[in-house]
Amino acid sequence: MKVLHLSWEYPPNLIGGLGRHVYYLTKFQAKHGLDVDVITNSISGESFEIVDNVRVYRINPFVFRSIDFVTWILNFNYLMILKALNLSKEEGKPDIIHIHDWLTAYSGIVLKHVLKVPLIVTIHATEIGRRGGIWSEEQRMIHEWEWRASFEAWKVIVCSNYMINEVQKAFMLPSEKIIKVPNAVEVKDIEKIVPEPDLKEKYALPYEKIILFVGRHVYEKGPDILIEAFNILVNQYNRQDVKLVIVGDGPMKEYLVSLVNRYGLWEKVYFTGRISDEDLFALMKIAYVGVFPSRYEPFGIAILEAMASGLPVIVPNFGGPNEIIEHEVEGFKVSLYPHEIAERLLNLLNNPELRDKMSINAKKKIKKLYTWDRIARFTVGIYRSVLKEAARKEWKHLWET
Amino acid sequence: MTDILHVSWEYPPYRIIGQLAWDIQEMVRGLQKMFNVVVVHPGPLTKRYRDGEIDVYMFHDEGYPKRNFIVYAYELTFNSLIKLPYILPYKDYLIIHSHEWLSGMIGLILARTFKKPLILSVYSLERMRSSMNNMLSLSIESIENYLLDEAAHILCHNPEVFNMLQGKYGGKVTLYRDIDQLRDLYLKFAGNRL
Repeated sequence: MKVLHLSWEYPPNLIGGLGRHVYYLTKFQAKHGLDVDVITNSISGESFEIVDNVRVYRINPFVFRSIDFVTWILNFNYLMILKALNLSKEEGKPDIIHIHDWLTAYSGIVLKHVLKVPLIVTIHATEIGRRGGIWSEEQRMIHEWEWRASFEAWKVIVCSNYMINEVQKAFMLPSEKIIKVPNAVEVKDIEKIVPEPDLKEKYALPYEKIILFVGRHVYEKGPDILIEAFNILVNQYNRQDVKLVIVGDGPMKEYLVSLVNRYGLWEKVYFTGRISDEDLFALMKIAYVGVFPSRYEPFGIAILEAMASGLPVIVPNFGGPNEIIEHEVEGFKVSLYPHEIAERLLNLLNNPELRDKMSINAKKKIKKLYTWDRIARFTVGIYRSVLKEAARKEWKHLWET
Repeated sequence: MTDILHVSWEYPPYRIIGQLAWDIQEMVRGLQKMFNVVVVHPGPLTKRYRDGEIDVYMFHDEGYPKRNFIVYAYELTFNSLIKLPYILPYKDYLIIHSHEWLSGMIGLILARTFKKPLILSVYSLERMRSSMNNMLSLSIESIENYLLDEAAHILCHNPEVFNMLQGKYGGKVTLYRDIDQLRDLYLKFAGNRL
């Protein structure tokens, strides 16, 4: 079976969790015997490489000038169509086209019709969910492309029950069209990382325990909520044995820094910026607890990575994380009140045995339920059933491509 | 007879923006005596109709947000490509001939799909249309340049355009004179096929 993935991000060009998702999914699909191509964007010109038995074609979207993000995406999609048609000519057409989010909807839908190939879409998040509604013309267009992708796709894959509800509500889809396939982590990549003995010294004083946040610095990820909670922990509960390490970057960074300064926490908070996966996993291994107070989170790969590294986690009691964590087993599920987060942190700081027990439970759960091998097998099963259905359906098409 | 596919942004009577619609109709009517000409163009509905002996396939392109002209161009391309596979019969076209950059975007994808050469007719360039002032759209110009690079042949319908493109594209550029010249150009692409 030949599968073509269209994705706007793929390592080393990573913006969020999507690129990592596509990397591991395609790697394990190839491991399961699929013939996998990925077309993605490149910031350094057109290129081709084979990554873990996956053929990766990078195209240069900067061939065209763009006036805004939407036109940039359209330009990129147009070039992806041309690339896919060339590949189809050279290697034969794919059996399945798999797109990820609205960002590749344009090319995926066109290729579906031009090549007569079933389309699968994974909706990682919706525009309505990310912004709490549609408030601008640009958002309306993004929402429209999301709807189009979900309408045109044979099956819509989402990562959690929360997302099933959201997608159903946002796009009025029949429930049998939506399939839940959770995200996963590559445990081996995390296990092989051994932190340097002096690593903790780079981030914290010897007596400080690291509270870790990983994520884009945007409103929906809630880093500001964690700073509020951390302020309560340090200034109200007077815990001086803690350090907050904030990994990532984003438009909210200046505000977060100002918040830290306002609370007089500049010696207690460390902004790392973006760091490599190796550094991140090492940091997760020396941290005490991970906190992910997202206001909107369809799933949260960073939560899985933290758990696989042996971190107990504090997550919202709604959205995707709510389905991953069992309360008081691998961590705590909380409402997003800073006081509640601060109390849970205090609880863990006062009970190292509880923290260690949660750490073991978290690792166990990941190995049992959230491996890419399992997820890739699941998606291959979806492809097979779609191809069977497609073979039974009459699809009148006039072009022999 | 050999099949030629023309892609246009406008064609009478359903879509007339300016003189181009009539010029293209005159051209394809002239060609019809020598080739089986099929025309594709956008319009208010999706249907097949005949213009004399010419088969015309119109695809519906209304009802989408026209946020800016680039977005419109992509929506036009999208609408053509999701509808044409269900109305336009597959034929062993000799040439895909597009008129101007808007239909050139569709034409290039059709050319790659059918594995045929693209001839791009150019009536004006973005730099000329904008009088090189601050109305110049670098986005449109970059698409135009890409299509010019990708086309197998460029047919200029304006001596000024011809002068501007000849230096860069050399023998790939021709200044359009008449139907007989266009027929000869098609025959050149046909090689041993005819």
